[in-house]
Amino acid sequence: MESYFTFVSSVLGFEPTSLLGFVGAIAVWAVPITAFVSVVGLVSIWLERKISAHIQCRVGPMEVGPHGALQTLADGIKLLGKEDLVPAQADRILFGLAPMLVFASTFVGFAVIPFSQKAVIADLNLGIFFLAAVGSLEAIGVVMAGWSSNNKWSLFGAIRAATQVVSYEIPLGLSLLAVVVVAGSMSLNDITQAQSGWVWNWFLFRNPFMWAVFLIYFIASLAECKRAPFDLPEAESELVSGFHTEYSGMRFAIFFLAEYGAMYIVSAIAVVLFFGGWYTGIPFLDHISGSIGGTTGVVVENLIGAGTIIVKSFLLICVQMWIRWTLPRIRLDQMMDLCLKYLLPFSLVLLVAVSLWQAFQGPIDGGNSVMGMIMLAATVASLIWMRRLAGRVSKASALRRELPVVKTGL
Amino acid sequence: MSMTPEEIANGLKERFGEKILETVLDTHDPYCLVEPQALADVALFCRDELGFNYLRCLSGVDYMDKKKTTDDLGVVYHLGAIPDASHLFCLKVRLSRENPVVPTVARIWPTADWHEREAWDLVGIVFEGHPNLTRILCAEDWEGHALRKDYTSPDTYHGIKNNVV
Amino acid sequence: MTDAAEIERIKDHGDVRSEEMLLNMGPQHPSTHGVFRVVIRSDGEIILDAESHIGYLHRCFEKICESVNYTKATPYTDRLDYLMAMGNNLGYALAVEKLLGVEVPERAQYIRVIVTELSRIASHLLAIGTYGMDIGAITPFLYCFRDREKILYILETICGQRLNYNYVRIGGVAYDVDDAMLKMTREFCDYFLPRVMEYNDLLTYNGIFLERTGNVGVLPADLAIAYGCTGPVLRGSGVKRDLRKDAPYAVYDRFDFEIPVGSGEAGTVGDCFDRYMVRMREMIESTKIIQQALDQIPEGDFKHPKVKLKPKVPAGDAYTAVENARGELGFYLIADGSDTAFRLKCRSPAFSNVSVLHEISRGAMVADMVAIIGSLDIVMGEIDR
Repeated sequence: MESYFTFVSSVLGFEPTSLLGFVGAIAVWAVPITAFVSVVGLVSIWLERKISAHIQCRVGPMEVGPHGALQTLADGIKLLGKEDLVPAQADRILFGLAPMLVFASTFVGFAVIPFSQKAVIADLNLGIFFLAAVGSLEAIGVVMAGWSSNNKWSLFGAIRAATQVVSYEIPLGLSLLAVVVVAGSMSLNDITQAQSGWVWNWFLFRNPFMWAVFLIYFIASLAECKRAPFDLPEAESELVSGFHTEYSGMRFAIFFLAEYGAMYIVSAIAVVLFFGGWYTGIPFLDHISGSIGGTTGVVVENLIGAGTIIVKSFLLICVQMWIRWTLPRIRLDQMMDLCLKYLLPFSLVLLVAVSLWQAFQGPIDGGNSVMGMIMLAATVASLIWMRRLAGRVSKASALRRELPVVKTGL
Repeated sequence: MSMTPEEIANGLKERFGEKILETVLDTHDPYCLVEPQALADVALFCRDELGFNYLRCLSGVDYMDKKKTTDDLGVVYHLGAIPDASHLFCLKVRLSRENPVVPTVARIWPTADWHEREAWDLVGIVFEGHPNLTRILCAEDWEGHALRKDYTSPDTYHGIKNNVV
Repeated sequence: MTDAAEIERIKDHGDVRSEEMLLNMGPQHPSTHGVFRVVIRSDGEIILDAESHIGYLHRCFEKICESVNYTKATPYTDRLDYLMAMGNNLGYALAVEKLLGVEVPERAQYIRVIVTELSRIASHLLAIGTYGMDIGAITPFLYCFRDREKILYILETICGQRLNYNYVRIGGVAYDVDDAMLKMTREFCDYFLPRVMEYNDLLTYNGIFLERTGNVGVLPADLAIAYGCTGPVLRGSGVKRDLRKDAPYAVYDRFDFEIPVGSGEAGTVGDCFDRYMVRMREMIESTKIIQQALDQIPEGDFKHPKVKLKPKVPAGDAYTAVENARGELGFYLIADGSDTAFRLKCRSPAFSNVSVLHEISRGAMVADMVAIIGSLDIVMGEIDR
């Protein structure tokens, strides 16, 4: 118990003297996180709707609020008003606990996600490790939900979720480890600070292997969030809704919120590990307190940092959505094939390569910047090349340009 | 491979003789009326020797007309071949209303499995030796066979009123 | 437990044998395309056996047709395969016309071909779109619906209905088509052909889609024939059989079109991908047929002048089959000389196609089951009749 108190104190940043103070201190932090998670949920659900709609030649919600911005809020209120159904044969206790556990695992993660150098609730010295640990807790909640629902389809979803955790956690952990090797620290703050300066100082461009590490991390993180093409646990066309088939009303909303919270967390981790965290990539902006000075300077600098990391994370969330609305779903055995037969050995090789690179290149002065510039240029070049390649592949889009517009009121 | 209906009918008569009761060729679908008990053998012969690898349609029919000149039931088998679409023939059997039993052809053409279940369900023809002769379209506890001409729908079914105008 | 008993137990059940599970898929399930129920006996995710249960939509169509006159029965045929109602109308009309012994005017024949092929494209679009959704890709579904909507609009302009047309009637069609409709159809054809490439870009050649459909639910040709599978299901197995070509009805013998068959592009001949791809290619062929029909369509009557509203069909019986979107739609009609059918048996293609399900789903995974059912493209309206 004592060690637990010590741990909590380190999270809180000060030593509460009484139990009341302890609870109060937790509440002081919990309220803003809850608010932030809810806002993230609202925004990303709205984004999902709009992005999917525009991908699918629709307009999406338009009625509630400007461009349907308040639709999610309206849905939330509707879900609040719904009857809280528990199936007759369900295990009531586990059934009630499962959404809480799932939400908690996401929620706790927000404690260590930094928004700027100062604005972080707990700067743990093993932040990445902590995130990986609490992130996988979610699977237990999912398995609980599937088991307690007493529905075979839910059980299928739960078992698939467990299988998925076993498969993707290893490549995910190894790719995190590769970054730790480069940064020399597990603290998210330290990792970010190692990427300060110009864009090419970001870890994505630090050495030739980091792009591959990022891709592995990104694929595994899609699996962690149960996003398509890895949405096997909830595959609606196969398992109806998988583990949350039997959930309704607010419990369902909590699952939903946790899913979008998790999307934010994995994106924020990716931003911290590969995309320079709260740094904009322009040294002048990142150290604006030097030119403005005083408290204003510090506030502005932190605001810029927080804005930067949030925008970057949401950009990654958009990529996740883009992928979801483009790709079909992978099958269970193919998912395991991919994770265990390809990603795992590949990430092991990458870890070794990154370590060797770090050992030989690390001591060279200015080597990082030069390598970063080369990698940045290579990245931009390959993006342009891919764009042209895509244009060539899509004959349909070329033909469409030549076709006359159909004007018969169709 | 394509044979004329005459050739097919002659082939059948040659092989089965008495068991081919009637042959009608100058109609839309030329057919042979087969003695019910011999049907399975005839069908097997058609598949293996005459090349009818495909059962297009199996229809149970209640031949009882309004004047009640007959009250026979019957089964009509439309045979075909794939890919030769012009290779066609038709087999018919007539069954008595009291004992409508005919050997199954479900083992000869697996597609007959469901078609025979349907004929049992709706017309009430018993296919002897069928692997699973249960109702297929109607509910398992439904009474009567809907496509019989003398069928009257029940007034209630599990408390649901029917025949209400 | 003694050691001997323990050894016996292991011998009997195998050391690592897991328990089997009965899984009830349907009648309410998003991927059964209607109220279709499959009872799956599974070992974990692997299907050991599957048993299909049908009949939830049974309304005894055949009995209804014995109690209303020939013309009144036409709207009921719409409800068989409600995704290709024009084809059902046509099959039924041809069956009655065969016994009536009437030859339908040329213009009506061409109109029939055009609307049937439009209907076929609409049906295949829905099949392909929902198939993508079964596999987990939701976007292609909306793309397909976008284009299907245009077909429904065209068909709406000629008969006022979007799904159950009651348009192809005994002796011709219900209303003549005007030039505006023909122009719209031509524009649709020009618009549509590049779309097929768009679907291919988006869905067909996606790596995950190929993995999910290739080598899954392989239906060998002999099994397909034995189970009476027809249409894209049979052609997916590499058998070149299409009644439009093999036993031409209407004026299909005047058009130049190909019959696509499965070739095992993504794995084995007869897998889900082949069935899917046959539909995709058939849409192109249908577009070609429509374009030719639009070029050739003559002026003239749109229905036979002698066929009355309540025709009395001479006694006799005949089996008439047409190639519907799902395969051979046959009507076995027995007429007794009155204005009402004595017996009308409907041989629906999906009925036979789905009866093969238990054979090809054995050993597949639960996720494959969804892919297999989707690739058979069932419509419960005509299975249950």
